[in-house]
Amino acid sequence: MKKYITSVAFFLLFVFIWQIAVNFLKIEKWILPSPLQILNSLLESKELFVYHLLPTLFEAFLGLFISVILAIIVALAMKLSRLFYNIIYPFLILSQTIPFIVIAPLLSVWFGFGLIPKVILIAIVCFFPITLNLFAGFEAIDHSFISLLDSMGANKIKKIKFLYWPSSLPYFFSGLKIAASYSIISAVVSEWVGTDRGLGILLIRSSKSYVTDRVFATILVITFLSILLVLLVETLQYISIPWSQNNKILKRSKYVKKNNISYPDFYRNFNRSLFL
Amino acid sequence: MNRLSVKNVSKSFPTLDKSLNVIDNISIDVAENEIVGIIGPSGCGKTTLFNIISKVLPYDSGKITIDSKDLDSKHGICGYMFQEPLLFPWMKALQNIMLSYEVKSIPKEKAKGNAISLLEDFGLSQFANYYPYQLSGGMKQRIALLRTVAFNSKLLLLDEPFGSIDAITRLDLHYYLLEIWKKLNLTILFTTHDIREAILLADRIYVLSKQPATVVDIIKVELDRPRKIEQLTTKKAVAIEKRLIQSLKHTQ
Ligand SMILES: Nc1ncnc2c1ncn2[C@@H]1O[C@H](COP(=O)(O)OP(=O)(O)OP(=O)(O)O)[C@@H](O)[C@H]1O
Ligand SMILES: [Mg+2]
Repeated sequence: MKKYITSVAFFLLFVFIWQIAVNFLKIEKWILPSPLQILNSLLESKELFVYHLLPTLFEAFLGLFISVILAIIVALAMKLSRLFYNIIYPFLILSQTIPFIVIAPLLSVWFGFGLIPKVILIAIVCFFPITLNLFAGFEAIDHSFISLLDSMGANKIKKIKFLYWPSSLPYFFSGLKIAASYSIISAVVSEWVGTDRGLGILLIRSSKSYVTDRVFATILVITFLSILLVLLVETLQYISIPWSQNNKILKRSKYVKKNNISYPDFYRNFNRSLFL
Repeated sequence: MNRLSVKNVSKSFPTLDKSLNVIDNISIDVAENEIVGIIGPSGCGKTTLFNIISKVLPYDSGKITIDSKDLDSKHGICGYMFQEPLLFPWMKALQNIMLSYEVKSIPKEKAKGNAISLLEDFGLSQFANYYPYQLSGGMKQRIALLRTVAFNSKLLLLDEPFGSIDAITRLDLHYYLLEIWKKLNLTILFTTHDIREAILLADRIYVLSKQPATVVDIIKVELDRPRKIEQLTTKKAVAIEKRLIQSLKHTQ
């Protein structure tokens, strides 16, 4: 925790200077609102934010869920069939360089403005990091364990159940963490294209009507949701991998135990989501 | 279902520039209910031989039969304890043992019951819920031995089964192994670097040369059973020990 005190202090100082500067230079609210004004806007229109937050969160969860199912199926198929692997893997690697978010307008041409194009976009964006990580996990398995199961005459299904799946869980979760941080952003972007409810449309509307403090507040909410989702995945990870020697729940203090927080991981993944 | 015959088996590994001949024309027989030990210099090919018998690795030439049936037609036939414990890190000790039952599709409840009673037999019940990383090296080896026993095969291949266990516990385990060997009518092939362990356990001992492995000597151990550690100081045992040391010198 001590490690982060300086950065937290720096952040507070930054916010403080921002506040002073806005007050002192009398910058207009629609150009740059002060931190207090942003906070005020957030609290003032709580119901509004909740109203727009719920569909975004729902889309993100649904998209994430679908991408997890697809990723598990595809990664397993790649592991089980060399042919499938040869066909798919180059595309998976290539996909890393494509920002899939740009296909959002296309999806709305095909699927309209409802839930479907949004969930499809989120699922596509989240699919790749999970699949690639999970497959990397399958590839990283200690060959001796495969030999052991071979010597016992275990079939493929048993190998997956006892070896491939559990040993790849840490990889799966690092993929899922990246995907979780992508999911909210993808939902927001897909809402830009067209919807009547969601944080994305709230952002667009607020900026078009120069309610800049609400724009900032919405960004704050989006950021907060991304953080929350990543933390949720980390918590899930620690619950699902109790054998990990560096499992912080087993090792660290009561504070961390209570809060299920691991700062370094969380910041790493969050940074990636910012650079999406 | 427990007679093993290895006839003129050879095996080489392809390496970058040439092929590495590891096992050269080895023949080993293990009769029903026999305990056979293999001693040989480090790196001579003992583990490779076990990997071949347990079908983890293919071999180049020769013939291996179990109860006169070709090895190639069988799968998961011997209980193989690897040189490293190879406990699955995500399973507690109990689940690691249950694995032996579960690969054979024995229902979970029954597997659990069997595994628990095995742990009790070995006096290891208190470690049932430990993850491998919480166990000491020797403890891991014992759990690995239990997993092999649980596989319930009449033919056991034990690759340095007691390598990292202290002398006293090791003796306990020797006695335990001999006890279950008798009770369950097992046939056992094991490797060791410990001459006295070989004499205490085995009916016959194969001495292998350094790489490529060939059989240098076969020594019969005609000590009465049930064996006790005290027998190792008898004239007979000392003579066997001397001969073993002589043969091992030739392997260098
Ligand atoms: N997969 C492989 N590819 C190439 N060479 C191998 C392979 N496995 C083993 N070897 C080589 O075969 C030789 C025999 O190895 P093996 O593990 O069978 O020895 P060992 O008799 O069990 O030794 P130790 O007593 O130290 O366990 C070694 O020289 C090793 O380098
Ligand atoms: Mg070996």
